[in-house]
Amino acid sequence: MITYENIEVTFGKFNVLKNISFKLNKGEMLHIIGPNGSGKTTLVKLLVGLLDPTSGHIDNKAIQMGYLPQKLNTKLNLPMTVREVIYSGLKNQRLKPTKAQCELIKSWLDVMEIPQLFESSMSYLSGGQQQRVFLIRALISEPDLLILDEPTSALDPSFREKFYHMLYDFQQEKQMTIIHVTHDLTDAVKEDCKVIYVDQTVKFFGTYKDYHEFEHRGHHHA
Amino acid sequence: MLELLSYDFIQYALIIGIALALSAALLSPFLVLNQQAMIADGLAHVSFAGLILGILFIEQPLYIAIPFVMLASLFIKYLSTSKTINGDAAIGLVSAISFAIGLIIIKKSSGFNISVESMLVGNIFTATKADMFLSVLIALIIISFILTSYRKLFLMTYDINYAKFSKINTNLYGYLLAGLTAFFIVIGVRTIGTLLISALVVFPSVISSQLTKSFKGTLTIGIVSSLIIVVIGIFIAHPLETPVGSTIVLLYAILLLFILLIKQIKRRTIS
Repeated sequence: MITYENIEVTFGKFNVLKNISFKLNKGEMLHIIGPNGSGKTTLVKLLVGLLDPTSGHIDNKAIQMGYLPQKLNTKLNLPMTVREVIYSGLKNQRLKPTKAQCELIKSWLDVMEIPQLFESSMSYLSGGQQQRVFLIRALISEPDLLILDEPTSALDPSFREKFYHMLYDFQQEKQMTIIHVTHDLTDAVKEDCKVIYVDQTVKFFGTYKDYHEFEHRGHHHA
Repeated sequence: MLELLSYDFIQYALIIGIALALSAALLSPFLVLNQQAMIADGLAHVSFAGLILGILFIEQPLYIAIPFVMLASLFIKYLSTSKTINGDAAIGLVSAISFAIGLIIIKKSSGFNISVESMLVGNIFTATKADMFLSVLIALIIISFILTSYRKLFLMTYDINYAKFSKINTNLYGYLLAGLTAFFIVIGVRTIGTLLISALVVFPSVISSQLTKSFKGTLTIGIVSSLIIVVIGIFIAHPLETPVGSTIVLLYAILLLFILLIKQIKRRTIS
């Protein structure tokens, strides 16, 4: 589904990523971990087309991508409602969503426990609530590849666990490929998930099971 | 007051006023809420030079002014996206240079029979049929552009990275928005004036965002309030013998102050 081939990224003289090669199959879940400034976000920015590699090649066979950026680079003080933000994630850029899309939005609002906020102004929402809205924006395009860059950073711990369970269910049900950047693997992982440990280069790539061993050999992530 | 409507110049003024108010209110949220409010002001200064160059060389100054201002707007957009100069500074530089060029030409060319004052404040009552057609034309172009690109422009306004991720050609739409703003400004400068045309772009969103929490509401209320204010402005400016542009700007300001006052009173009574 996705292949990174000898990817290298440099900003000026600074080498952010080098020699990055790995492969991810359809329906798999990949956790990207690594210390701060190790190039995790750069790795996904390449995939979503916000950045071009200095050299190397990425082969991405996804038809529809959903993306939750780490830094919500949005102007949240604008007059705009939750409804408007969610609609802006629809696949077809039409003015009105279809009936099926409306039902999908309603079900996601229920899952995220924010149906009552649909007509609210974005600027009145808490950080966690805003993040759930942006997550729905990413999910309503019904992506076959979902990219989440630290999606739980603003979510409270009680919702975090629920969120991951929901994500696993969704992944199984829709055969969705998920790429997940995190600095906290503890509540996010199932044994058969893939893990990549990045620190400018790939320090580890394999299943979560094998990652335990790698960690015990003395590599710790931040 | 109704007998005023029988005069051609009032009819032209009303049609031009409505077309310009509609165009400006439609562009307003995508510029003002994207921290580009000053682009209209900068382009108005550029069009001052463009129109003077036009008057100097040919009889129809717009043939020179329109391409001149559109090029300047693309240049401002280019400077601000190339990240060598920030957007505000790019607007400041280009507008000051153009204004300086315009003033030097006026001073140096003999037989220039148009007063600087008329260029600065404009006069909607001396507008021609051609001005009217151009105003309606630009309004129609802007209406179709906003209607067909609304969702893309909205996404670009609040989250440019997500817009890029969604495969929206943000560069193309940015340039189209700047180009249309330039076109609108050149047409509007002759009737509303160099100094005041930007108010038509800035006020609608500032006023409407006080009254609504949605983006669509901001757009709609901006359009409605602009149309009302421009029509009232034209009707009262004539008997009062005040410049139309200035009258409209003052009406906008009064409305904004009134809204802010009501909001303040409401807030006090709640707390």
